[in-house]
Amino acid sequence: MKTTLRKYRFENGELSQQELADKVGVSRQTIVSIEKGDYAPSVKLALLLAERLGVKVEELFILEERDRDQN
Amino acid sequence: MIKIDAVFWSALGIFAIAIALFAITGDQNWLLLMLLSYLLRPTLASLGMAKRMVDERQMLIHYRSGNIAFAAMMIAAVVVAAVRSAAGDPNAEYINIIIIVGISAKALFNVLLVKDYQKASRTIIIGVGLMALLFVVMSHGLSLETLAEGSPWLLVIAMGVLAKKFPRVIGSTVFLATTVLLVFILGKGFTLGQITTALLICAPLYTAGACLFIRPAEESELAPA
Repeated sequence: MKTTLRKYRFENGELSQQELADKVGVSRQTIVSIEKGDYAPSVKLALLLAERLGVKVEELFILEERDRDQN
Repeated sequence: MIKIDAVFWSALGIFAIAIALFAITGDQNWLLLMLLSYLLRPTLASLGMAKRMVDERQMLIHYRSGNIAFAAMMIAAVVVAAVRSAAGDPNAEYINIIIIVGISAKALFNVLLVKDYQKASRTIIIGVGLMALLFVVMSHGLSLETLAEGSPWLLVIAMGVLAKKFPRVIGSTVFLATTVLLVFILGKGFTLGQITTALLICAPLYTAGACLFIRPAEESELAPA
């Protein structure tokens, strides 16, 4: 799964990872892991991130071909 | 990074108490209390009491490391029990108790966390019955003694099967039978072995009995909630 979190974070007033983390109630390390693609957030967290950044969740997280192959 | 919040101060308090008790009494066992301060945050979060203090990724890490730690602990316990047993140490029994309690707790919560309480109760009752029956067969082989001691457990298994049709009747019967069993087990003596047996048999049965009184959730694949 690909993420555009970093891009939208910068487009939203250059929010820092800590600021975004505080807005959605997680640790900064969790935002770092999501941006690096090391951690796939829950549906709830993905929706919260999309809401806070004012984008649709599917703009924030994009399925890749290999994700489809797994199912 | 260390998170300074209420859980941190509680853990620090426990740590300080452990050090103080060790300093006062000189008994090293008080230092084991430090384990509590280390395990406080993930334990509280697992019980749903500190959800705001641990986020979902941290919780996932705790679950994974917990599973690995459980497997490591079980392997270590089995090895130590086998080595002590081979050396003729009668205390090896205590290690077996730890292994059985750990595995039983994992199996019990695996069933309960699915949250299908009606099915969970049947699985637990039948599981306890089968385990006890297996233990009787292993102790006495194929004999009249096995038949006599194993019959009550066959009844327990039958109760598990019938629980689907008569949940409340079976739930009440399980409560009553478990109480009789508890009095019988502890009546034989208040030793560590008897307490463990009572815990291993009665705790799951009481849990299953209580589960049978929980109304099953309506399930439908057609109607939206």
